[in-house]
Amino acid sequence: MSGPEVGVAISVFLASAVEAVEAVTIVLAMGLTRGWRPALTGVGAALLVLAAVVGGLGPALSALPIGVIRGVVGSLLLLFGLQWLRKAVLRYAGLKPLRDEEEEFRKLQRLGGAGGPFDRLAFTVSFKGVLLEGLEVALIVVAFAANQHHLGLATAAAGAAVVAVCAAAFAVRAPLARVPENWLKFGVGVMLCAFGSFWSAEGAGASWPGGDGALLYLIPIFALFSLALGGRLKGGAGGRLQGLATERGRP
Amino acid sequence: MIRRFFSAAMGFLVGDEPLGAAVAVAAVLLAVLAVHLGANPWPVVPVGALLALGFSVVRTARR
Repeated sequence: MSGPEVGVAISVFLASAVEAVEAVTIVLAMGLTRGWRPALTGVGAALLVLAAVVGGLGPALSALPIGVIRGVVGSLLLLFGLQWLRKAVLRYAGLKPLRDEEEEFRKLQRLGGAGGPFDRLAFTVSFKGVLLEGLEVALIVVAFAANQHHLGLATAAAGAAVVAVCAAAFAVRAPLARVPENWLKFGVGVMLCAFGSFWSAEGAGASWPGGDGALLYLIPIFALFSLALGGRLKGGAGGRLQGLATERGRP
Repeated sequence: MIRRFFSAAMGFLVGDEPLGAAVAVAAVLLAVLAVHLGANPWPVVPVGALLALGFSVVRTARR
């Protein structure tokens, strides 16, 4: 496997694992509190809708010129990456609480109660959770496959991530709080920003110095900038900003 | 219904920091314009993305 292929596989695996952790947490909570039948039916229905959407959009995507695809998916990846990286930097700086999957799980458990013969809430919550997270995984797979022509590799990496997270959830049958989600999101955010910048600039018609090797300097640039930003906020600026927020919060 | 769908789609794409996303999109559009003017604007998008990140992080931290 070549260097770029390893990069694609790792990026898709990490991104898909993040989405799978969120979806599996929701399904676990619904299954344990309101019954597995409606929860798993919701999962099945969401997978059917996902297959229809991806199958329907697949040919339409491949008919588009490669430059347009690069520009559109690069911009989308950049937007997703910026969202993830912003939150990861804020958590790293201590300005946003670390996302606690266990608390999410308990919150959903509190929402749950005794389910009927077929619990609509469990079905709907599982359906929505899997559909939304699955769409994000599908978009990541299609984006990487369209730009690097590695559909099989991207699909396999996403599938491996989903299987790994499901196996872990099945083995522990508990919230996935032990996964260091913030660092996972930090890494994924950096990768998505780097790939997103690379493809959207290429889609616009720009040529990168070093060609595909541009990713080798884009990834460290985004990582170092984010760490520096988080470190700066953690220190002086963070304290001042937290002070501001506290003052504003006072009556 | 269309409005709700549009709102949900925007939330999905740009999250709760639309101005940061707007800076990144503006950088991509600027790169497209620069290419049409005959330049090779490879630094525009990453610099725009870094600015968007810094801008949105500081803005969110101040809330």
